[in-house]
Amino acid sequence: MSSDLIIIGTAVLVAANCASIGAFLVLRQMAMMSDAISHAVLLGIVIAVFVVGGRETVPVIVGGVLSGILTVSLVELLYRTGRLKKDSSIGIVFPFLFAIGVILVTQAGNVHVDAQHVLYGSIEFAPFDTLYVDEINIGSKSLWVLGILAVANISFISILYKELKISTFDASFAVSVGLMPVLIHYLLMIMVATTAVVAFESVGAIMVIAFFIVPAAGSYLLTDRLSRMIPLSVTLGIVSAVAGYLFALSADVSIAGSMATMAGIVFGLIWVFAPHRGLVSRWRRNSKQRFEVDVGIMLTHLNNKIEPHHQLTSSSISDALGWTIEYSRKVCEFSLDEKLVKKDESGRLLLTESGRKKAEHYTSG
Amino acid sequence: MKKSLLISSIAIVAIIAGISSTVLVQSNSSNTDEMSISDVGNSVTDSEKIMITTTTNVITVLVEKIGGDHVSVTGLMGPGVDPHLYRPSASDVKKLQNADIVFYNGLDLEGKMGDVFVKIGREGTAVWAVSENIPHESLLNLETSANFDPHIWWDAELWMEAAKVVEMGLSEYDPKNSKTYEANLEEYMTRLADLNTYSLEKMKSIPDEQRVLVTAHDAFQYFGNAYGLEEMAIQGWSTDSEAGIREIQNLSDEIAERKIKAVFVETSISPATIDALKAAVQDKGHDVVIGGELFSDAIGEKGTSEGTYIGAFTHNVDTIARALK
Repeated sequence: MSSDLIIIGTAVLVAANCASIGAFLVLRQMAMMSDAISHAVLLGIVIAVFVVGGRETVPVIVGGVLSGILTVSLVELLYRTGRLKKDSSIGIVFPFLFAIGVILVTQAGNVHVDAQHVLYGSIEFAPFDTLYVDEINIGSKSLWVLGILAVANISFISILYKELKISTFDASFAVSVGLMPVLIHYLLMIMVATTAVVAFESVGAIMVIAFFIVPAAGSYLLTDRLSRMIPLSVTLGIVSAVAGYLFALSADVSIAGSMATMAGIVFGLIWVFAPHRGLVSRWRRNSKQRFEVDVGIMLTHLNNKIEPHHQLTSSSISDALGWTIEYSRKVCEFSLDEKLVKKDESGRLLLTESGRKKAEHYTSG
Repeated sequence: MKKSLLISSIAIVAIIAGISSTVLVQSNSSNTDEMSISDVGNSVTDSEKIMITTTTNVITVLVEKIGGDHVSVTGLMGPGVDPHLYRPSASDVKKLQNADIVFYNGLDLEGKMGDVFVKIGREGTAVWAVSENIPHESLLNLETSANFDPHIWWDAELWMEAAKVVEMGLSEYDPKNSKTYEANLEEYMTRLADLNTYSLEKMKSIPDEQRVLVTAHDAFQYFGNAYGLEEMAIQGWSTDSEAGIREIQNLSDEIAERKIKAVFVETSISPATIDALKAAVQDKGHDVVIGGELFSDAIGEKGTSEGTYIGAFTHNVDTIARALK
């Protein structure tokens, strides 16, 4: 029981940290940043291990955070030159830093330093990774660390909410009202780097990378308002975490892997079923638009053939316009209901006054 | 936004405090609770077997040998699993939680997991690193590093020390059966000694200039050291770092020059690197063969003859001797 609670609690805190701040990454089109940091940390880890001579957690985290900050700063410097897009800047910086790390590892011979071995933790072990203060067990380390981080992140977002919002959506306006978007951007990126590395240490890489981006991207399909997007993103993260945990228990597989997979599935459901931007509603809207165009085509057709000897019925329309009889009947019925056409005694279709206006509007427009 | 900040901060602190305190209360009372639960369960099914969790399957079979009928051992890593690439699954949480004793290798083989074991030990579970009684002068350093090589099980004499640690751990937990554990240990020690003699003789049958063991990652330093083989590996200790081109070139030069007959692949590592090495040597006009598959980080499937430590060890020794003779 207790271990379930700690694992779920840890996952909820990961969601609170990553999904909230990840909303800004999605809006600023920097979604690959967390993935980039997960690679670039190698450099900082290697240096930390060389300096300290062991893989103690605190120096490794400090090294990781510093190389994360180096990554985001270099990306920003490259991007500010105006010659590269953000994704290219990210794609140039992190392999460079990662590669320096690889060279340092091989240079040192057989030292076994890699992010998996030294930095990345496992959410599965969160219940056993206890924290001691004066030899007294005060509970799960990941809960405390991620909890403090969550307070920091939420304070950061709340205190600088206006600044973050304006500089995210309209950087030049932010400059004109004196908000220093560059400074805000660096602060945000430092929070991203710190959050990513600290969370890597608690739960491993894949879950963090997924929770930074996937819930935020899903909630962006559901709302346009930042004030709703952030809490919604966290909620989606929590839902994915709980569903993922239940799946991992029933299938006996990796917990972090299932949670990340569930985040993807939750996103997929939103992508299909979201009220305005989902696949289904988009398809509906498209077919509705096509139907309206077809009504216009039929009205124009009637308008062109007003000579009295023409027998215009739904079947002659289907011949003339190449529609199925069924579809022609549907278009006619809709037009009759909308009083755009009327039927005379012999069953012929005639345009009404509003139908004629509409048809002329189509032909002239 | 200020208000929501306050509310969410309070909520987070409350959640942590709540979870921590319930967990602490449970862990304080859990000793007695779990005792009674496991007593009830065991009296029906397992007649008070000691629940033991291990990491690699080399350790799993060792504990089964010493513990015999009194233990029920579950390993976290199965056959063919590189300890570096091991990822825990949901049931591993329970395996660790329900363990009476945990045996792991130590010497950093398990990486960050080792820290977890130490903490489980502080919370009252008996936790033993099977490498802990090996004197430091018997351990080999990794090249250019202060860290020790963890692959101690490929030296049968060092593995005897590990067997003693397992006996110690079992007897301390379950003193009333300590006679059985001692007897099992004694019997196993003679078999390990036989294995050691057999291996020494088998390796002596290889011509001097052919006593070179070429593999993809140096899991066999102890083996080479104990049984008189020079050990050459492409990759270095960590299975994560990729082989450098220069390394492969240097090594293939040496193999071609010394006309070494065979190189070896490992069961838990992709053979791609060794294939590349073989191709490089053949380019230099020396026909090197792949001498066979060696067990390195894990031993074979349960039920096969390589599913025991002695079986896997003998397989390695025979494979090497056959290929290099």
